[in-house]
Amino acid sequence: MRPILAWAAACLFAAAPARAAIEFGEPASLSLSFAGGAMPLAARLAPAPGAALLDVIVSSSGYPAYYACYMGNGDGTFGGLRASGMLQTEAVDLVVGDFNGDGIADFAAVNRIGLG
Amino acid sequence: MVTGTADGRFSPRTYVVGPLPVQIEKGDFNRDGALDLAILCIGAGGAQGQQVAIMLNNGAGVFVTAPVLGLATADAAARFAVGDFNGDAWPDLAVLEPGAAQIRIGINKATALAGQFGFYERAGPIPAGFGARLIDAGRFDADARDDLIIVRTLSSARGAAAVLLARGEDFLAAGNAEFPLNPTCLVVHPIDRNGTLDCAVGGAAGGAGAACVIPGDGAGNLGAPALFALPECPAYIDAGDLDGNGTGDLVLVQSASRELVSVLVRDGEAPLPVFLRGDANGDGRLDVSDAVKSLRVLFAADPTDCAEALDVNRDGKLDISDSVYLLAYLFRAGPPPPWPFPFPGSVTPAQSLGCERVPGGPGA
Repeated sequence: MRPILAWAAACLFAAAPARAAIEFGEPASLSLSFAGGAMPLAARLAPAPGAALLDVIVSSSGYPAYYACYMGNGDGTFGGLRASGMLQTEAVDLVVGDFNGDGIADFAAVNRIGLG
Repeated sequence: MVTGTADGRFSPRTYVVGPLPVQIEKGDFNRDGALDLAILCIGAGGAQGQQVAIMLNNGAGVFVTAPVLGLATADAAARFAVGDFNGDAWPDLAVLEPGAAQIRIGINKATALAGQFGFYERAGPIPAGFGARLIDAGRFDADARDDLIIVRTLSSARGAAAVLLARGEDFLAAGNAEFPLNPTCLVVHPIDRNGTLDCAVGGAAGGAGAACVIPGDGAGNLGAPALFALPECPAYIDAGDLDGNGTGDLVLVQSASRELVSVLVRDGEAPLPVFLRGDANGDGRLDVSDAVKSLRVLFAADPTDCAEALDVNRDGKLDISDSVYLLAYLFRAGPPPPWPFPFPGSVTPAQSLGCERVPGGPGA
């Protein structure tokens, strides 16, 4: 665990009341690097093609905005970049679904100047 | 719109919508079997400005550019949710207007004519409470209607979630839970494995960030939040089973540090079988082949790996009424199956007729 995560977790867990059954594993971080220093704005989990794992699709700020799909490793972490590309601008929200009925996850994003 | 391909790549297609689109959701608004899009535009001007607009899918992932008006709103901080609030199996809209501390409900005017639909506004808004800023929908009790959950800011370090149970076109205040963070993002998802819907909230806490999981009990009540800390206030949250153990795990976007944080959730129990109610053949979707499979199990002694999935009407027994229920949902706009549907999930063994499907399988 990164030091700042460990510090923050220790502070909050110490102050938290006794919990019921829900517990959390150690957080894992994935560094998101978009061209032009764009910031990540939204992320949605999506079924990986042909596998029982979840990938994550992340959209970014900026003009142009970008998306990146990272492969899930099945253990809570994400590995290699499956796909990436450009959107319009400021992709502030995402939705995942099978929009063309081929059994493969698609996504739609809203951008400040349109829908990509 | 970006379509996925079998080799894991994406193919984008761009549509122009109204000014300042800020939120997007999905739903089969005209019940033609294809997922449509609902988009909230908060900018003034243009045919799609200041409203939730519906863009219809032609079934091939191509959207009709002329939108259908869902519900107009002039609140620049508005958020919305999609759900079947009156139990007629047609997706409705709920628009949260923080400025007026109210929720406006757009009821989908179900018609028997394919492709024809529209919305009328429920008479009178619903009070949302001071500081309301986030909204989502899901089944927090056992009936066949989607309910609402509203998340409010109480102070710079405190928030609250409240469930509103749908009762026809009315809503009944139910569970409440307070938590020590100022909320910024919300997701509704089954997180623990008791077979009920839960939610998770991310937000600011003490100059850093935090998130909490708030368990639902299946009767509209909310349990004590379970908290974990983050180095930064998250901007976005989503949930899904990342490790296949049957619990919903969390991913959170930390914009300033340009990081995605994933957190596994444990609830101390062995994994429960995961299935989609009505998915008799375990292929992960509902169609006529599931009704055929159910009838074969009943009358031709076909084996099944998940009897609970065949109990489509969840009356605790398998009979022909389950196939009738499924066919009515598929072809006669009948009510949708009870939990777990439309997402795969689990029920506790005591409530189950039996299931052996493992988490992460085709039906999960």
